[in-house]
Amino acid sequence: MYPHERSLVKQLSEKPFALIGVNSDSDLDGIREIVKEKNITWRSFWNGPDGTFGPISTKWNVSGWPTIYVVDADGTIRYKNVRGPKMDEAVTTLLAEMGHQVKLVHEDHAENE
Amino acid sequence: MKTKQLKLLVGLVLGFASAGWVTVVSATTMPLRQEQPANQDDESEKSAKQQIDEIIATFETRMTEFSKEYRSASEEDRQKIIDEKLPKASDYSGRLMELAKQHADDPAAVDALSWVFSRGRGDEASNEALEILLRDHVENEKLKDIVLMMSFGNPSQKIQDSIKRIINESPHHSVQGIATYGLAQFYSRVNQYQGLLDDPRIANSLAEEDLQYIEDFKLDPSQHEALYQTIVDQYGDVEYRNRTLGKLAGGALFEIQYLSIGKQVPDIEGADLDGEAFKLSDYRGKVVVIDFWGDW
Repeated sequence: MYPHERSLVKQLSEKPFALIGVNSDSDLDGIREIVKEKNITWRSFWNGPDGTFGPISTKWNVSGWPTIYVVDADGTIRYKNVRGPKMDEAVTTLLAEMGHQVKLVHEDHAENE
Repeated sequence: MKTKQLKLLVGLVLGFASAGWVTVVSATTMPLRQEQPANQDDESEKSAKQQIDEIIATFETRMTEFSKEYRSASEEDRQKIIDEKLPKASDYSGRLMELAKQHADDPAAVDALSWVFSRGRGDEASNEALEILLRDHVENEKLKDIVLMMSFGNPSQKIQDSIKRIINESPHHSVQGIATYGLAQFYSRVNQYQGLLDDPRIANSLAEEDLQYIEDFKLDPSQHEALYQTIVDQYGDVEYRNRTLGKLAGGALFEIQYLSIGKQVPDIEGADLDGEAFKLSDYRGKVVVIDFWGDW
């Protein structure tokens, strides 16, 4: 997951694109360390000390991690639970709708990890 | 990748939430391993209940020991601990099935069958246990402990029929309610699987007829919504693991009504990992991937 997402964020840094996490770890200090250690370059909400039972995931009825939503520029939900190449496809389609043609190329295995 | 899958499996074993389908994949990567069966001394003098309780307790003790050791081990040693110490349900289910059959009329038989069903997660013994539970114990109130679990495995016609049978034949309000919630969750799961069939790891983990069932499955979203509404209206007061079905089904209704494809995304207001407040709507005008993640 991380290498693919890092690659996505890097390649789209000049485009109208954002990856927003909702981190569901209960230990905030622990996850801050992980973010540094694993070079997680995107911003996340913290779901709070109750971890997977925190307020954001509860409201969104999330029962599996990762759960993924892809939202277009107007704020309409367009895709759910797309990963790897499918996430790339979703994002490039939505960017193309805005007139941004992009071709995503990931380094070895990044998209499958 | 393999290590990550195993880690996810262990995450589930240790009681973390986990996407069920990932676990299904993980289970196939687990190495097969033989273990000595549980201690069988003096069993003739013990009641069926004592014997069944002891076997289950032995498993739980070994699982606790495994979890403890796994947590305190270094990253490199963890694989070895999984290989050597993770107790396998299949090493215990044979004896439990034997006892359940020998003492078919003993209430403890239901405990043994429920354990084999829920721990076996779709293996042969687990399927047999489910068949016996439905055949001989469909009116037993203890089914409420396992009926929701039925919706967690690979979807199949058989699981759908089994859940419906419990809804129709159980005389208990609580079992009917939890089974109805299980059916609604089961439908969500089939929908989820339909989106994952392109992934060969998922497709290859399914039997041919189950794959066909998933491909052919079709449910009008309004019917799905109505089913959750029924649960809120008729079974909202039923408790399941410290939460009410009203709350659980209410969450699912929110997802259908506000988080379906084509809906306007609800805002999220919160704080980032550095404590700085922000909103999802700050990113309006951009394509946004929202990723509920955790490092476990």
